[in-house]
Amino acid sequence: MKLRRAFMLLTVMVLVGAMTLPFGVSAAPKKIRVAMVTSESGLGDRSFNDMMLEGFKRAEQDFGIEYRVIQPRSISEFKSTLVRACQQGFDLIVGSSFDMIDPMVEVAKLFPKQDFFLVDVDYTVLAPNITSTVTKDWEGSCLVGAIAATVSKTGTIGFVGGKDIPIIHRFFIGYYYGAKMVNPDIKVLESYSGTFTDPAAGKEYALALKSKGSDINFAVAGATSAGVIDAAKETKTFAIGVDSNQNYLAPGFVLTSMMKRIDNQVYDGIKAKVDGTFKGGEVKVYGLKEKGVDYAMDEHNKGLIPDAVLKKVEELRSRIIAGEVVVPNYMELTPGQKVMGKPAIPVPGK
Amino acid sequence: MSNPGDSIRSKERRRAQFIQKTIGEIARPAIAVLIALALGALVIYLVGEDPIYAYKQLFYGAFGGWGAFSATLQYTTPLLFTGLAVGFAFRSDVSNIGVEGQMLFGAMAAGLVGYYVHLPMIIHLPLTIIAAMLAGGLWAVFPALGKVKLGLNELVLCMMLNPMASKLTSYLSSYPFKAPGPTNKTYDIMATAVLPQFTPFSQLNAGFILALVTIAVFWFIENRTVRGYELKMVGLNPLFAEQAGIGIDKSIYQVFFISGALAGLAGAEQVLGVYRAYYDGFSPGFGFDGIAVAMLAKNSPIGIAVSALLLGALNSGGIAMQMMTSVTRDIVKVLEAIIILLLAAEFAINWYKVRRNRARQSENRR
Repeated sequence: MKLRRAFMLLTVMVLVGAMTLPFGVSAAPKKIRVAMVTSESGLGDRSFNDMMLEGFKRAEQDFGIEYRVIQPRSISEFKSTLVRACQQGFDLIVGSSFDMIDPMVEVAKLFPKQDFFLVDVDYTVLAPNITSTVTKDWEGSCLVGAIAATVSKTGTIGFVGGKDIPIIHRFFIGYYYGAKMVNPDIKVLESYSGTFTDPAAGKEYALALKSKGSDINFAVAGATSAGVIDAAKETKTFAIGVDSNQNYLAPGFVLTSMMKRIDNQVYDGIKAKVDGTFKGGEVKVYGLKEKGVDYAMDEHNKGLIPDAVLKKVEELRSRIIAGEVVVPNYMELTPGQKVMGKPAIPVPGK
Repeated sequence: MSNPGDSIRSKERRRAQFIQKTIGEIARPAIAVLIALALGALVIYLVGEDPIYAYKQLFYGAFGGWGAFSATLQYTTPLLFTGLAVGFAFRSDVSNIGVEGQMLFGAMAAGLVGYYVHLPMIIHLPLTIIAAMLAGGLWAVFPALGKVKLGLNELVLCMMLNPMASKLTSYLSSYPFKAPGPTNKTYDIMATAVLPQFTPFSQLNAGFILALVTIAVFWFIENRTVRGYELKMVGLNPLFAEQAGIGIDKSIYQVFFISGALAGLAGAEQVLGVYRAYYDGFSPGFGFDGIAVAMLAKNSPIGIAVSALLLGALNSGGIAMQMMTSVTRDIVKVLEAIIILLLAAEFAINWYKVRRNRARQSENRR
């Protein structure tokens, strides 16, 4: 009898405990949950997606948000992935790349109360519940072009792009413009390796440019860039990195890196959500002015760029920020203004 | 005089043998899947997550609700085609691992015919699908030529033709046929060539029905027609097939062409149903996944349907698992790899046995 009573008491205690437990949890402030949907190359690219993740990590530390990384395998999985993220009740869904525009717009219509954030696309307003960003990578490319044209000893500089697609041309046009601005006689060689994932191809292209006289090559090619940097080390020339700070990959041979601060964009987007200031239907621009792009200076490229050059480049930066110099955006050039290897853009005066 | 009881008994025996054989055939892949899941659980445990919870999310993510299930079926569809393409060739002992390249050409043909040809839907859609099958089939004739005329190994040929196909289609979609815009893709196809989608939640489309019909047709060809039996004999025992008057060379051409045409169908489904245009680099390796599907299914059409669904479910459920746990999509790749490894080991042993028997046979003949 006694045993039974003790047992019942225990049961009641457990039940009460079990009931209070979830209440205790829900009494704590609800964490903001954010989903990161990667582009199809996924995490570990040492470039775009990893840079995005940095923003999430910082936001987690500063605002105590909770985030999940979702990695679709191909463009065809974007839509169903976004739909299921909506059904999981995330407060904000963050995506990237041009390929995600159409799927996200369609899904945003299906779930009008869900907030979305799409980084690094263009100026078009996508939907009332999507905020998107534009990174003016052409402005950053202009600065590294100016650096390359001044530092070059051979009077020839090169460019190794990944695939021959408009967004990569955007970098080239900026690079070309910056180079011609400081030295109208400079030769700028343009090439596209056709891949974002093959370092061996990057090396071949960089060596080919070197044999044509180029001593500084700007690599805008994802994982292929590693080969360009490798070639620079081998031939004692310079490479310029892209997206994240890649100076450390070959200290002394990476002149600088054109950083796209995607992490800042993600951080700002999440911050707006946390502050309650997030509203869709906006396009945010991240250029030199907004510190969305920059060239990287650290201990790995110390002394490679003379101070006089840096001074000149900083002057150029302030002129761009002031709006005195407008770096052309490839996407806004009229058709026919640019054919491969021969940019028909107005070359700025000295 | 035969005793009627005998025939009944032998019928029973045959049925028992059939059941035993079927169980044996199902058991091995099933065991491979179970071992893979167990090892996967270990990996999940090691990264500090609860394996049971993770697998539960994987299962709900694949089958829980129409949104999830329609995504599963969407991911399954291309694997049905590529699995069948590989399996049909494997059955005749033709190792067509060039399905990826054949699929890309099929997709490209579908994209071009879908945009440049203007006809009413009732003609346009079938025409586009046939064009994709032709393109895939013709690209598959190259390894067949090499194997028959020059005695080259089709494995090596296919392996070399895959990157060629990938670069060529990439070139076509990046330069001559590129539509203006930020991505490398062809123009959107005409509405008359579109395979309609069933749901706003995923890109599941009429291509799925087409895949099921194709599976049924191939089940019929392989099990109920003379030619299907002949092609099977070419794989099981080429010497016997030759003696029986089945033209081996002709069969190899035929098998490669049909296999390539099936691969082309996979491309057509992606372009006409999912993307509505040819996107450069759209495939995450459906052609290679097809090899895994065919191996898991032991080349039987019904088995291919089941194993394609399994792989589709793993990929679809994997996405949900990433949302609910910190386990990344790579665990799905790990599972796939373990399954393939286990099956490949068995496959290699069988292959060795077949070759040994064949060598013995030809020795005996001498």
